[in-house]
Amino acid sequence: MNTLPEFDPLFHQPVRTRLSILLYVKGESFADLKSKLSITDGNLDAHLKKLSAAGFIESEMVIGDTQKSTRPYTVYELSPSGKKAFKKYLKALEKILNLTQKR
Amino acid sequence: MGNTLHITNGDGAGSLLKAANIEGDVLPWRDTMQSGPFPKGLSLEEHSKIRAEYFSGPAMPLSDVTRDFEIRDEHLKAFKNYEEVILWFEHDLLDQLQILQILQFFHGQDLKGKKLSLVCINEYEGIIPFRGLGQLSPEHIEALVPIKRPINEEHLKIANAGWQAFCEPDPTHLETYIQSDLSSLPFLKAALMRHLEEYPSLKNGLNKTQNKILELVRNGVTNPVQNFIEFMNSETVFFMGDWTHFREISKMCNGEQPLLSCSPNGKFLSPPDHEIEMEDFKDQILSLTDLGEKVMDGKRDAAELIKLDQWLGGVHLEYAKPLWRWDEKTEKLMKTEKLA
Repeated sequence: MNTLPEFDPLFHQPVRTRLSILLYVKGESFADLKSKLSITDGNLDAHLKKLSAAGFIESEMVIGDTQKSTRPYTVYELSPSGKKAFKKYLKALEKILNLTQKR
Repeated sequence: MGNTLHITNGDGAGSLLKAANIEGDVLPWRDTMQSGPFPKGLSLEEHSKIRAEYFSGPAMPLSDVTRDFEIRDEHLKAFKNYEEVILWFEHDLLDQLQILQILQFFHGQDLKGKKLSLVCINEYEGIIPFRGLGQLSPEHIEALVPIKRPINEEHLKIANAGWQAFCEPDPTHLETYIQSDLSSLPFLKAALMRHLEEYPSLKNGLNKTQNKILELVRNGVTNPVQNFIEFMNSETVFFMGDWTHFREISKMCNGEQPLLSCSPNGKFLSPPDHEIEMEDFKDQILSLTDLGEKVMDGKRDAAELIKLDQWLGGVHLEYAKPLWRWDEKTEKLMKTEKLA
């Protein structure tokens, strides 16, 4: 019998799973993340810090790129080690799905 | 080079590391360091709170700046998850202060089983003048990997002492520190000497940067962008971003007793503090006011005119109180009342 895979608790949390998907795909600003996830500033703050405390967040400061605004903002993305860990988490999910589909 | 954390002096070098496909995670150390408060006796996180307040403004809300400092600090504390941490820096004052702060953090940590390394250069073959890592190509950056040197206990001790001296409210601690043996961090001494030159001068109350800005304007470099370029060309161990340069101009132009005047608006307008089209920004022309001329001739004290209120590390400089000033002749700091 197959053993059940372990889920990384850092990613296995409803908001952080969705947040990690977004940050895995591409860099996102805080405002865009907040809007896409429909969560509060404080909530998003806490989840970003949690991921950063594992070394899973990289960021880049972008200078305002429109004609009108020169305001700088930060873009966040999963770091290479974050992407690697998230892929591992996805593999664990996949394994669970395969197990259930076989029944 | 798997499982490595690369700490860089900013986003430019960080992007280059990624473009060079150097394996590992990147943490840019975003802080201008040489200006603004770093009071004595505070932790990294406590300093970050103060720095966030210092940097925040209309263009950068406090909550955003605070978040970025907190995320940065969390990442640094995650060093335990990595086999190696490599610091990528150059010789200038900004970078040397960043090195001090980061190594001071590591000085108090259990580093058993961790490798700590430093890439720090002041030149690169074929890049003249060399200002920093940001000038290099991804191929250049890749070629620097073999020159990384291990950071040892001696480096950590020197950095810890240097950081404490930088954060002291009495700058004579830093002067004394500069006289000690700093040879294992070979660019530190020259950088810290340049830091002392950022104290208001005994001659006219302007620091070296402000004196240079006014001197350039007096010599016809009246366009703010050109003024920044010429200023940077005159420097060897001082790095200042364009925003900081423009803030120095604002300080001297937009106060109650301006040393500079700016056409066509009278006031100097610069992003991100003011909403202004880039074309209009670049078209501004600076000139010395009568007061500016008097300051340059050593006849008025600029510290009083611009109502100096500035932090350099742990030292709070306030025009209404006796000030630490830089004596160019003796190359020492002196505490003085108002200038005669």
